[in-house]
Amino acid sequence: MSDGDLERWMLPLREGDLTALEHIYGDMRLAVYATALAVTANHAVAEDVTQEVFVRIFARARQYRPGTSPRAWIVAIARNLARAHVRTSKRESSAPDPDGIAAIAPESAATGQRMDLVNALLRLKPAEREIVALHDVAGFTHAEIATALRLPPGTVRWKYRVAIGRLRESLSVEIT
Amino acid sequence: MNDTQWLARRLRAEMAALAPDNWEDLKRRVSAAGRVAKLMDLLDGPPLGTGRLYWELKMRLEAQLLKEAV
Repeated sequence: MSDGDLERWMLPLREGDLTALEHIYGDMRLAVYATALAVTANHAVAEDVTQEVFVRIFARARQYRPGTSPRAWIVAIARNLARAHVRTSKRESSAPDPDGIAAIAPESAATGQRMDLVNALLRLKPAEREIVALHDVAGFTHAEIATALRLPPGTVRWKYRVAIGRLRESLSVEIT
Repeated sequence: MNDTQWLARRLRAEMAALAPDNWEDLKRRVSAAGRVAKLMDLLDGPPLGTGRLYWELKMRLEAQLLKEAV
């Protein structure tokens, strides 16, 4: 769904239309989950943040400014909520995990899908994880990512290339 | 398809297998959040005030409604 298609659902959402929320959920849940996972590096937390993001956008749909990118608005909410979770868990944990990363099972129990690349993604630096998730899963351009993360576009492109190189490397190590 | 595109496609497939797809759970959460918001509006108005009893009642109601939603 493009920004234009998504924006058409934003208007009924402002009136409390659950059907609109269901469409937006269907279209954006993967992008929201990928963003939350990149920030929190924890599947269970990212799942919870994903559901919470859609509760939040339903309650705050009136804060969305028509004419702006709904995808960027939704992903910004996901980033903020995920970062809030990370801050809270750092405050509450007396013995924090040194890197805060919870690895994902190597294979999905439900689908049998291998999880090598997601686990390799979790081992990247936080900014690299976010850039790869936003570009490859959420479908944002480097320019859109630069705006969202407040980084120069050249830095985004460079970090993306470095991150992809690391993913490729870790995958070839696991395969061989 | 080049190497980078292949990586992106595979990452997307792995993420898709992990991302939650639970519309019914979301609907319950949205409904509970709406009920909490309505109750909060009610409690925020007069004549309940802002004493200790008011805050305890507010917190218990919120906790109960959120528990029901999960």
